[in-house]
Order: sequence, then structure tokens, then C-alpha cells
Amino acid sequence: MKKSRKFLAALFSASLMLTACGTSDTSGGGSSSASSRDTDVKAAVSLDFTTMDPVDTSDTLSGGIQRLIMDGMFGFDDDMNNIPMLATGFTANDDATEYVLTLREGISFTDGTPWDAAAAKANLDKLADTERGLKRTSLLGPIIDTVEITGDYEVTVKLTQPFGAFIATLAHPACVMMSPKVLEAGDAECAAHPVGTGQYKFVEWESGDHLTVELNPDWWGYEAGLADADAGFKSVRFDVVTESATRVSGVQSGDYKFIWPVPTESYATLESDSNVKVYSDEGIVVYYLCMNTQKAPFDDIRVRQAMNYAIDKDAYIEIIRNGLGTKATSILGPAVAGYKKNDPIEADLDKAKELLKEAGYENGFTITQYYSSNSANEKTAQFMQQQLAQVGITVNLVGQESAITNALIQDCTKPGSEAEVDIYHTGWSPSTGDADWALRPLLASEMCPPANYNISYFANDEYDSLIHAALETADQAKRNELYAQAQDIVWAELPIVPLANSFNTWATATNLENVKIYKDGAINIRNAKFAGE
Amino acid sequence: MVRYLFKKILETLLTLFIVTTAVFFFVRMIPGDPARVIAGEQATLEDVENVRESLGLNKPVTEQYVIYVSGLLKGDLGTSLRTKRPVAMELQNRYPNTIKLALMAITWSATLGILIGVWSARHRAKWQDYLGMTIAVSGISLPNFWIGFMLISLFSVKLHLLPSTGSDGLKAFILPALTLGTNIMAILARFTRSSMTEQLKEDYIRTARSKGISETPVTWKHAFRNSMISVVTVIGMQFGFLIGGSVVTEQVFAFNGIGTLLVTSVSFRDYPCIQSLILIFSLHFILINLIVDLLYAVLNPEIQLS
Repeated sequence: MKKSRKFLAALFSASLMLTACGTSDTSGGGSSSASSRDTDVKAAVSLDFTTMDPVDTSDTLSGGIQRLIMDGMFGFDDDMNNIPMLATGFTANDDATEYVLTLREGISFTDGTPWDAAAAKANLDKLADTERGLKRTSLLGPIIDTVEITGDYEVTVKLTQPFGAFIATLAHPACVMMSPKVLEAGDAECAAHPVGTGQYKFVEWESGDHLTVELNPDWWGYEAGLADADAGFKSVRFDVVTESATRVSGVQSGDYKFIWPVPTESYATLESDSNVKVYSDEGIVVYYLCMNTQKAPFDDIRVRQAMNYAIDKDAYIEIIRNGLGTKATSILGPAVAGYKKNDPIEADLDKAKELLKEAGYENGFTITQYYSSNSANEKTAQFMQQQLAQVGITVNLVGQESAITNALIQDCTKPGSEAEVDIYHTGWSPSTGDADWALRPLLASEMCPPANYNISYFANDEYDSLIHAALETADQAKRNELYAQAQDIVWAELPIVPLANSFNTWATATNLENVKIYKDGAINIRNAKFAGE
Repeated sequence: MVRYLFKKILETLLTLFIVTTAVFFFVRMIPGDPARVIAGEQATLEDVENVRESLGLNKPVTEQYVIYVSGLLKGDLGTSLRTKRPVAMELQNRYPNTIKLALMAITWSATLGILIGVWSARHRAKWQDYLGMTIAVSGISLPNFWIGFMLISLFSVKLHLLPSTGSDGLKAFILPALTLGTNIMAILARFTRSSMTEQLKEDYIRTARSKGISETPVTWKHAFRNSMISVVTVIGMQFGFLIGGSVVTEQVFAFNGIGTLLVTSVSFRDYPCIQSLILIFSLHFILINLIVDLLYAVLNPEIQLS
């Protein structure tokens, strides 16, 4: 027995030795994060945060957290209406090439740096600097020409071209304002330690594990009436919990006061739990099916109409979205500025077959649908396969790892008629809350891959000129009119099969109220209130 | 002995060099463009090109390789493409977490597995044996994710005794360590049993018994020690897999370890992160093999290290 104990001890110390070897590999990082015992509210989110630099962020979750820490010059109210934040107003010239922004006075960043015209210029200059290699500089980089300080609290922005969506774009989460001190410290610092004027202060972020923010009692928004200063908690810790079932049991066990998102299959379970409140609300993501309009058979409008009649949107919502969704009435969600409602196209198999016959496809045809393999996408692909089989269309499914599928679809340098893609199921969230950031990237002819996301390879001169004209004015009524016409063209030409408006789902403990999800899917805890245990 | 170690170190360095080079070029052969994945779905072509340039991925592969290797020699693992933070920083919390979890899991599972194995072997074809092997077969058959969820629903949701997720404090390690160790416990129980059964049939055991030595020292001093050689090999291998991180268990418990990091890194084509993780895994296996070799010599003095 003695010997074997010695042996176990040997094994144990050997493993410790190993640990020592291993950790020496990882030296070079800073000290490990502090404990989180003083955190009041714990939340669980499904994804890891990618960066804290707004100008380098492409995911809604990270953008949403940044929006807690940093305010933009413009932002959103709970219904995603554009509201002034760090700016109090603006004036634009008639052709939307020059904007004068008036800034809110008497505000400081949480590191003490004052918010003024110089701070605004430093941020706008960063957004305009396309040389910097940050992802979101493409948003305003090609558009901003010069930023001038024209008063202590006034900046004048001259644009390289007319851009009516400028104010809407300033509400994009990438355009929140960071302390000039951090900007000066460099991009690495921006990515790791953000400082803003926001309602919350950044505390710590342990990649892959959690991110913590604490309330900023001196937030200007309290006086401006944006929220009540007494939230009933001190800080919020967001844990990364990728496994859906674990998030669900976490809110049921009380470990988490708030989880996002609620997997739709667990929605009913949580509804029946008296300790949990579960919510759903229509978002701005619209799901749709692209058809490659430059390639046979989809170059024929009758085939595209037939596709729209063949796919049952109610069944799609029931089966693929677990009942959480509404039929799409545009390529934009109803909450997006510039949205125009059209009537959903109801399924009609006879009509679909008739149209296919007219187009010369009486015996159907065979196409390929690529998708990134995960169980949700696979289910969707099979759904499309089944729906289209009813009208004689054979769909071959090719599921691949997401990076491979994206490379195939988005990085395709061939013209539309030679591109691999026939049909592709996807969803889009216009994070500016404005029609431009969907109508242009999704369907403008210059946005075909690899430029951006016009996977339908839709090229319609009238459509292009409408959406470009809408950018040449800052007059919202005029822009809405132009966007309405553009959306009518989409409905007439049908480069897509519009499917459903998404729903955001989340759940909280009963003692945490007013947690919301913005229409774009970002977390909104501006008015959250904790009643205590 | 010194000569042996010296030879081993040389071998290790050579292996690591081969692994480093092979992995560097192999990961770049996987289809999929990191610049595109990192830029995101909404990115324009311009964004993607910007990202490619800022990550240094527009440079020739050979130049990238030289940069990587010269960094490694200085102890720099590179910068994660996904988070733009040093890979070392990505590892600094996850790595100790995984090691701690692996040690906890291997300790309880090896101890219990060996005890069950010895017990079953000593009472072969009796109820003790059947009970032990029922436990073992169940442990092998039950999938990790199922065990994990059952433990969560019992200890977290029903009893509120242990946290369902996280890696803060020892308490958070208990459920993942139980989950992770179950299969290994079962494998070791079966392995120990068969190895012990073999040994207990040997002539030297009969001799020992005929000399009047009582059953306990016969079991532990004679049979057990001799049966340990194969068991140690299995423990070494299992431990090697454990410190590679367990993706399933980490996912279920939202445990911040290196298994999930590897999967995330692969899907983001985060080359520096993948390279570093595989380098570390190789180093682990080499070291564990070395330790197992040394243990052979301790267990059986007839084995000479040369």
C-alpha cells in the first residue's frame, strides 16, 4: 500500500510539474482578473465578446455591451427610434454633404476627460481613418471628408458625397464615443479597456468567461430623464454560456437573473416556471431566401414568383422559428426607418406549378443549396428541400463548415451567372435602424459578392437610382418615399423569397424587471430594476 | 540517466519543431478565409481587405512563418486574430482552469477506478465483481453531456447546492470534474480488473500464497504492483486527453477551458491560437510519455532506462 501511495504522489507531483511548465508558456499576460463576489446581477449570454473597440466590432452582442459603456452622438430609445444623445441636434445643407452637429454640454468621460468638440473630432477622425485596418471604418470612412471644430461644442462634418443616412449611421453601435485618452493610447487599449460617458463603466473582461460593467452614478442621462438612477444593483456580470440548456437551467436555478437568448424550444418550459419571466419581441432581422437572379432558372421572373408561392411562410414560422416570428412584409423589419409594408405572398402550390409550366419548367429542375452546418441551418435547408419538392424542384443540400460556406458565397469573384450559389437562406439586421443599411448592401447592384451581401445578384437600374437618390437628401420624408418605391420594386421583381421577421427572446428572474432587447438584438438594461432577493 | 534525459530533450525539441512547422502550413491549407470570418457577415470587400492587412495575412506565407518562428524562439506565441490580444493572454486563465479540472478529474477517477478494478478482480465472478462491472459499463456507456445535465438539474436546479456554470472557486469545479472523470473511472476499473485477474493467475502469486502470506499483501504488494504497468500507461493517455480540454464538458458547464478555445479558434481560422494550442498539446503528450517511462522504471526495477 505504501508503495502505491508513493506512486500516486509521484504521478501527482509530475502533473504539478507539468502545470508549471505549461504556465511558463503563458507568461507575458497581465495579472488575472479580480473575483466577482461583489457582483449583484449575473446574466448569461450565448456568445463570447469579440472586442471592446466599437470601430472594430461586427457582432451585435459586443456592440450592445459597448453601448452600455459608451454613448453615441445619437442613439435609440426602446423602440429603436433615433434620439439625440451626446449631440443635442444637427443641421444639414440641402444636398446632405455638410452636417453641423451641436454637442451636449457639461459632460465628462468616466476618466474625467471632458466631452467637447475636440473629443468628437478625435472619434470621427478614427471612424474616417480607413488606413487603420479596423472593420467598421468602411461605414463612414469613404463618406467623411473633413471634421472641423467650429465651436467649443460644435463640429462641422463635410462629406465626400451626399449621404442622407449620416445621422442614422451616427446611431450605429460602431459610432459610440470613446474617451480621447484611450484613443490616444492605441487600438489595443481601445479593444481591451473602453472608457465612455455611458450609464455603465467597464470593469473587466475575461475572454471566453465573463465581462463585468458597473453603474455610473454620475451618468448625464439620469438628469436628462433617460433613466431612473436607482436601479437596485451595482453591477452586471455577463457570463458566456454557449450551451442553451445550461443557460435555461441557470435562470431556473437562480444562478442567473437574466439570460439571452432563450432557445425557442425551451420557451414553453420557462413560461411554466413561476420563478422566471420569459419575453419575446419582434426584432429587425428579416429572414429570407436569396435566388441568384443572374443564373438560370432564376433569371426568369416566373420562376421567382413560383418559388414565392411554393414556400409556405406560416409553416416556416411554425417549424423553423418555433412559432416565434411574423410573416415578412418587406426585406426590412417594421421597426426600421423607411420600412414600407407589402402583403406577404401566401403559399399556393397550383399557382406555383402553373408559373413553372409557363416558364418551361413543367418537370421542375435541380438546384443546390449551400448552408453552414449546424442543426438549425440543416433543419431550415431540409424544410426548403421539402417545400420545393412539392412543385417538382429538386434541391441538393450541401452543408459545410461556416468559414467554407462563407468563402464560397461571399468571396465569390465570378459574375452572378457563373457563381455557385443558386439559393441561400439568410437573415440581415440593419444595425443603423435605417433602410439604407439593408436595401443597399442586400440588393444594390454594386454590392454583389465579393463587395457585400447581394447574394441574389440583383441588378435593377431603377432600384439602384432610388436608393442612391435617398442618400442624397437628409429630408426623412423624402427618403421614406424613395425607399417605399424601392421596396415595391423588390416585391414586384422578387429577387428573394421574404420569409419572416425575427423575434428576440430573453428571460429574467421575477425580481429583475425592465430588461429589454433592442430591436437589433442588442441588450438594453437602461431601465433595469432589481427588487432584491 | 543524464544521457537518457539529454537524448529525450533533443527528441522533444525535434518533435516540437516538426509539429510547429506542419501545423503552421496545415492550418493554412484549410479552406476558409480568416479575414472574412473576422470581418463578419456584414463586412464589405474593403473591410475584409483592411482586416487582412491589419492581421498581416497579406504577407507571403514564408514570411509569416519566419515571423512566427522567430517570435516563438523569443517566447512569443503571437496575437490572436479573433480578439487581437496576445495568445498568451487568451490562455492565461483558461490553461490553469483546464489543468486544475483535469487533475481533479483524474485523481478521483483513477483512485475509484483502481479500487473498483482490484475489488472486482479479487472477487471474480461474485456479486462484488458484477456490481463493479455494472458501474464500469454504465460509466463507459453514459455520454458526458447527459451526465452533465443530470448533475446540473439535480445539484443546481433542484437542490441549489452547487453552481451550474463557471470556473470561480473550487465549488464550481465539482460537477465538471465528476462529469469528466466518469468515463475514465469506468475505463480504469475495467483495465485494472483484467490486468489484476491476469496477475492473480501467475505462478508467483501461488508461490506467495503457499508461503502463507495473507491475501491483502498478496493483492497489493505482489499482484497490484505488477499490474500497474499497463494501468499507468492508460492513466497517462487519459490524462493527456484531459489536459487537451474537453469540449463537451466545457460547453455544458460554460467552463472556461482550452477545449472550447480550440473549437472557437478553428471556426474563426485563428491561426496563431490554433498553432499555440496544438504546440501545447504536443508538449503535454511528450512530457506525459516521459513521465510514464520514468514510472515504469520505478514500478519494475527490471526495466532499464536507456
